[in-house]
Amino acid sequence: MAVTPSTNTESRDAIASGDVLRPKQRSLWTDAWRRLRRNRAATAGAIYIIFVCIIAALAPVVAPDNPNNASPTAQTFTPPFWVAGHDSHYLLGTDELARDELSRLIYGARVSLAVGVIPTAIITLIGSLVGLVAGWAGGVVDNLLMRLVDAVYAFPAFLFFIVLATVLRDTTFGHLLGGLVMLFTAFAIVGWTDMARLVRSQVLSVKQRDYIEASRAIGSPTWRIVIKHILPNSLAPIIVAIAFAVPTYILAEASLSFLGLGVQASVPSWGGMVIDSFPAILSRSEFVLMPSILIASVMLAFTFLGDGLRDALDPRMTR
Amino acid sequence: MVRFVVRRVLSAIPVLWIVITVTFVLMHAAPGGPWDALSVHKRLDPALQAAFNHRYGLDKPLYQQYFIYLNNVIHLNFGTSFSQQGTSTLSVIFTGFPYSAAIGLFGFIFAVIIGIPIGILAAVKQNTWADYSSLFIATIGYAVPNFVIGVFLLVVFGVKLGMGSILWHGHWENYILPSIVLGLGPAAYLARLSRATMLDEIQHDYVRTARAKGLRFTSIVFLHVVRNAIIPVVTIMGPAIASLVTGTIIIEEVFNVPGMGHLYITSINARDYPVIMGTTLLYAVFIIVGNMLVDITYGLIDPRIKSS
Repeated sequence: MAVTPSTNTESRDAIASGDVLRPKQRSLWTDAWRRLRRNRAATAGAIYIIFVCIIAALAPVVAPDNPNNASPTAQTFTPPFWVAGHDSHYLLGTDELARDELSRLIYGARVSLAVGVIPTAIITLIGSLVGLVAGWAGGVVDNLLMRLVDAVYAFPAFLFFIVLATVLRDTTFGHLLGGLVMLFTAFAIVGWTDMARLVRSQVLSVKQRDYIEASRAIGSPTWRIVIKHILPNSLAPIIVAIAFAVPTYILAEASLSFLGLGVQASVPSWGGMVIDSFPAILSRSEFVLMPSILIASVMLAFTFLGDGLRDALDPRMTR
Repeated sequence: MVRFVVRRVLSAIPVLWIVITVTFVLMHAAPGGPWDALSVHKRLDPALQAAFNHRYGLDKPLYQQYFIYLNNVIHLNFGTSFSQQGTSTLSVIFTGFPYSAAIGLFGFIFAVIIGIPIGILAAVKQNTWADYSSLFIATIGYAVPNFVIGVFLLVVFGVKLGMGSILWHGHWENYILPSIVLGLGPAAYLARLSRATMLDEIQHDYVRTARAKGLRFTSIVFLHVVRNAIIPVVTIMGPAIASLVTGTIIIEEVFNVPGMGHLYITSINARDYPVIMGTTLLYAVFIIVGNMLVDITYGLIDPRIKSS
């Protein structure tokens, strides 16, 4: 391993303070953090995700125009700046309804991130709870919960999304937050099973360890053991699963929107923008490509980050 | 083995029942009915609508319709389509089926013959440019949604290169792009996974022993390592088959293929209840059978697993 200047100073400081003999404390997390930072693809992915999050949060400030209302003077399909005939007011041109493309892409980031993060949070909560209960309780409870997981798991998820979206699109529920609530619900109903399986298997293996028995021997209540020992020791695979769940839902939203079954037309979403400009693909392919590239780049960033997290948190990688 | 297969087939029945029930409830909960599409231009005469409802049993209470449907399915009677009057559901579905099946099959073959060798190559040449570049391409293929890749290829071949012939005409060459796009995701996934399992396997002592005996490295890899490393790869083929089966829905929309996925979307929009149910069931059967075949091959490849 190459010696970097920073470790040099560190070791000099250590010698100066007389700490040489005491080995530096290294936990799984500090090790993982170090490994993650050294992974260039994962770092780049994380920085890109943070960048998109900032843009999405600041959408009303950053977006030059209203994403849903075209100005009366605007023309449809003004080309983006790299194509001849562009309008300097519309950096990325205007779409088929003369709306500013850049503003729509910026607001679309909100939908994609929300649809990636919120269902993931829900399934992590439900899945962890079910997994914990099943793994800790065992016996009949475990058996019942796992049969439920099997049944939900076997159900073709994408078909369920399609049918559910069709059913709920025109109801009050389907209109909540422009259809986002409906998508969150659909994804959560199907998605929690993987997390439940994962947490259960973690609990089963952690529960056998000696320190759990020790903790029980000194009379710790169950909730304390679960919160203090079981959860922290199951956290690493859960974090990796979260990093991979987010892009799955971004993809599902984009695919549903591509089928015209995603969020309401009034909400700018990248998948919806692809399908809206799809009929004009032969003449105005840029408008199909721009949202496509954004979907692909965000998914790629999450995959790089997920890969990096998995490599960093997997103790078997330590040699 | 026989007992295992029988038990797996039997365990599919409750799953199919749940699929039928959920789809049935959701479908009937959807606003609008099957005759709305017939009356786009003028309202359908209420008397005629009542006659239609009576003819297809839609005037009965919902729970009765449900049990009638279940009974019909048990007798393999899937009814007739509403939107294409007088045509049986099965023949409607089978007008689209061959297209989807061909694309799915070619996609699967593509995924296997591209994905696994790339993974093996990357593992054998670990930490070389061949490894890095194939891993990078595989990550892209895995992370980028297939409809985005489809759109890209459409733009490149159809728009930039002006190949109008890639648009759907039903010729053999029209199958190429959809199959590749469909197979790309699973191919990338297979490549990533087979690389990882190969790397795991290659460190084992028996490999060192075989090398010490003087066996050629390539023959060790192909005679011993691949055989052991392929097991985890086979297990993910079930999910891969599922993603191929439902993936065709999107791909067919991108490439305008008149397949089963296209039919599915049309039947949902037209509230063509028998076709919705029939197609959903067929998709579910494919996914279940796919997973089952994987479990069975799993037992065949690894004699240690006695399909317990």
